[in-house]
Amino acid sequence: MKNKNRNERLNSVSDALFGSPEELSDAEAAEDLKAAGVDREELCARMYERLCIEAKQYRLQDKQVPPLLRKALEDLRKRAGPPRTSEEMNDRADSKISKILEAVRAPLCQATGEGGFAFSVSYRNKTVQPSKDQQIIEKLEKRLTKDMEEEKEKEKDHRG
Amino acid sequence: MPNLLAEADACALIEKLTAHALRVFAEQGLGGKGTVMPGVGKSAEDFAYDILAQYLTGKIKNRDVPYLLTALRNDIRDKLKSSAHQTTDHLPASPQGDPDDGKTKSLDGFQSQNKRVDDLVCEKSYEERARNLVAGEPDLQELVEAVLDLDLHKPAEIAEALGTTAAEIQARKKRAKRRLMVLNNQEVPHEKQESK
Repeated sequence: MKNKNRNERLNSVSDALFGSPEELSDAEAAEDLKAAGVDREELCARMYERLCIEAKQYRLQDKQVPPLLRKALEDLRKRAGPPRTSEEMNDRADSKISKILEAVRAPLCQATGEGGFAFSVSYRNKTVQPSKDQQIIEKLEKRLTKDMEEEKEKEKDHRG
Repeated sequence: MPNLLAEADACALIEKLTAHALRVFAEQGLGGKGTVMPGVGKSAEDFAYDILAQYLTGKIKNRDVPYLLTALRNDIRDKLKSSAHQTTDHLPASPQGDPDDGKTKSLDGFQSQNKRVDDLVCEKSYEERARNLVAGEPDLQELVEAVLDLDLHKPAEIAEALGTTAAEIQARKKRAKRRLMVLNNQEVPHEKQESK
């Protein structure tokens, strides 16, 4: 009871300073992990391995794996476990390429707060971008977009 | 109760639990990823896994995500307190300590400044860490002072006291949390985890 009251007070202070559990969205959790230096893919892979061991214990005792654990393993296997079919393998490849492209785009998007390709206006300490720079940037953007489309086409052909 | 995994996938749940565990570790000054709780030997990720496994195997019945996050936070704090008790058992508790409520009261009935060892381990050092965290950030300092000194906990109350909006308070809370996570990640780990 004593511990419960102390926890409640500390929880209330913690919520008031850093936000309550209700306020934690998926996106915020992802940002928190990034700030803490945790790779989300690796985290899921580690948890998947541990849950596999948990499920194995049930099987060894001839017990049924609890449905929620089974469902979680199924969810995680799609992301963290080895692919079982060629379709899954293709999906993973798509996902990996998307992530690489996202990583390339992210700093550019953050600079402008927009979703598309854009470079910061403070590029090379200049407040206004010279037209020549702008042309180079646009050229790079187009090339990147073209590469992405080609990559998608290749993937489609590969599947077909 | 709804089934959590019917609506959210397991990865999202894992990420929330681990992010929250890392935040509680940071709040308690236990270090970031890869550090373990002294005397317990568990990392933030281990605590997150324990709650996840309990939920998935039905030891915690179907509840909502905030319930699991609160259970996780309490688990970390309880383990920390047990560990602190074990390591400070040789130290004397406050002389007029009341074993029933755990808090020392003076004759006028008001709580005195003397507290038990575990209070010092948790609450006082918690407040110190919170104040140090926001040093040099005036608007975050205001937030911490409103919560710790004025005992205001609701965003609307804090906003009124500081003459700002509740939305601004929410934004400050997010900044405070981000600062907590980033600075904690940069600090030298308390105790490095042994390779598993």
